[in-house]
Amino acid sequence: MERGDWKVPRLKACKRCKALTSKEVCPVCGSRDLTINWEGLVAIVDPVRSELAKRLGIESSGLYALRVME
Amino acid sequence: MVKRAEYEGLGIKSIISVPSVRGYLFVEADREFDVRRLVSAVSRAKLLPGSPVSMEDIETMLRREPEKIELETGDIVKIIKGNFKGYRALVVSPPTGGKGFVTAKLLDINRDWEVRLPVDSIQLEKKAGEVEGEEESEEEVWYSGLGESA
Repeated sequence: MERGDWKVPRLKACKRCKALTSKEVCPVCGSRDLTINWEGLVAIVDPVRSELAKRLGIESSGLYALRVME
Repeated sequence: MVKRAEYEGLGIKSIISVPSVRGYLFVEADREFDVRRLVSAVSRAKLLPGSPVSMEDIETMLRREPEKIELETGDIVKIIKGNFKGYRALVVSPPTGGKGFVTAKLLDINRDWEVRLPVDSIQLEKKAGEVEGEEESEEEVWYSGLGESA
């Protein structure tokens, strides 16, 4: 599915913590250093029990990019 | 999908989409039953039969480094992501100083457009040396085409 096919808000990734947001401020770390150049998506539902969250060093639930380009 | 997992109290821990495995989502859960319930709510998703994927396999997918391409001025690249996906472009300035962007002139259109593209959104099609030879032959075809129509 291409992003243009659906009216999905274009998400931006925080360069610091990789959290995805449609707003201008990162909901996790509060940084304003966001970018639209990112790829891969992780949705952490249960950060305490998720093995993936532990391996990626994610401590709060939400959407994250796997890779953020400069 | 994420909201459904949260609201219905399914035992879903995480959902991941890996760029190298397009079209597939991996769901981390304790029980297959929870994944089945989650997938049943999504109209265009199917649960693949088979054994679960191990966390080591997921990690391997995540660690896979993207192919590094060495670009130089004059190379022809194909754009594989973004608004200009499918277009070819001529590299004007290759990435320098560790920056992941390249400036390239779009081919396949009648205008002289230069665009700045992330390196991972392009694919090397032809190196500069090969390009020069081919461009000459393309010109020949172009002019002979004009001659025929005139």
